[in-house]
Amino acid sequence: MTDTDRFEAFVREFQDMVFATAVRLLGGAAEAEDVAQTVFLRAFERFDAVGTSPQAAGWLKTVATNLCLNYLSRYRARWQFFSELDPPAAGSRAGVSDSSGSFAASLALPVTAIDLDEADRHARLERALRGLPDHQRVPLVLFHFEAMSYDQIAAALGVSLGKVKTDIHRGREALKKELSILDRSR
Amino acid sequence: MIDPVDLEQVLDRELKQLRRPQAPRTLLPRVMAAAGRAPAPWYRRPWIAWPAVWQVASVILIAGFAGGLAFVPVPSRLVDIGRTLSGAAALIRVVSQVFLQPIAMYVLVLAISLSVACAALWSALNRFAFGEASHQ
Repeated sequence: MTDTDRFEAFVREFQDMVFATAVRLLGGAAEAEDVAQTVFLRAFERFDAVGTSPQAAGWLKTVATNLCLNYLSRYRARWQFFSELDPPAAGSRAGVSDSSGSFAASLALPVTAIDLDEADRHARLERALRGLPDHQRVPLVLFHFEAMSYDQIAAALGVSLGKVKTDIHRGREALKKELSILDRSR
Repeated sequence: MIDPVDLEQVLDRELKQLRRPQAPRTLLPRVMAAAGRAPAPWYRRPWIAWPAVWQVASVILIAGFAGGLAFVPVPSRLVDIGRTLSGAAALIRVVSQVFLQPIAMYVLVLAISLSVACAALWSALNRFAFGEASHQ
């Protein structure tokens, strides 16, 4: 097995995990793919160490998370600005096109199907999550998917603990509405 | 209606039930193409292409090693060997002055010519036989 084959197998094994981390943090598939590519190129540069490491998955996840946070802070300067607004005003995404539509729009969608199956339910919740504004989605994802504490999230994002709690609370409230709609449609 | 107290747990359960988003099919080819263009790690590159920090560090290390050797006491047996080598070197010098120096210039010109010819042949092979031209 050549080095190229080994690296290809490595990418195949971890690409879903890296992409999932990125797409949930960034909210957009195109940006997530760019970040995932960068993550794997970083891995390629030190593949001798990373390729055989039992901590490869954790390393990839950490790099993906850090790159996403860098990306958000670098390219979405309105993060801080929007985070100070009320949820309705902050509902629109900060400068990112999203083919699935905004969260506000997804909430307004009439639920016509009486029996949404589990896949539909998950798809809608996933869409609602990705449609949250950055300052709500990112701490929420770090808390629920990356198992980070409030303190760790505050340190990672460079914001106060209170702000993290407020943003997560608002994000949960927004998702609660989506869950209520889904539950009513059952 | 979801109790606010349970909201965190309910959402946690719901979110963790979500299927993991799958990477698009374009990701793997993109990564492999980019990796093909990516430079090799610095330690696999020629010294001249190493990061400046490592270049400086390696020079300091080698200089330190060489400097350290100067302070290592030389055993007397090694001194004898040195004298023998010195005699041999004198012999080689005489032989080279008599036999090699007259033809040294011709050998040098021949070596340079062969090197240039090899380089030209390799460049031509690379361009036409191995398809480098098609990538440009």
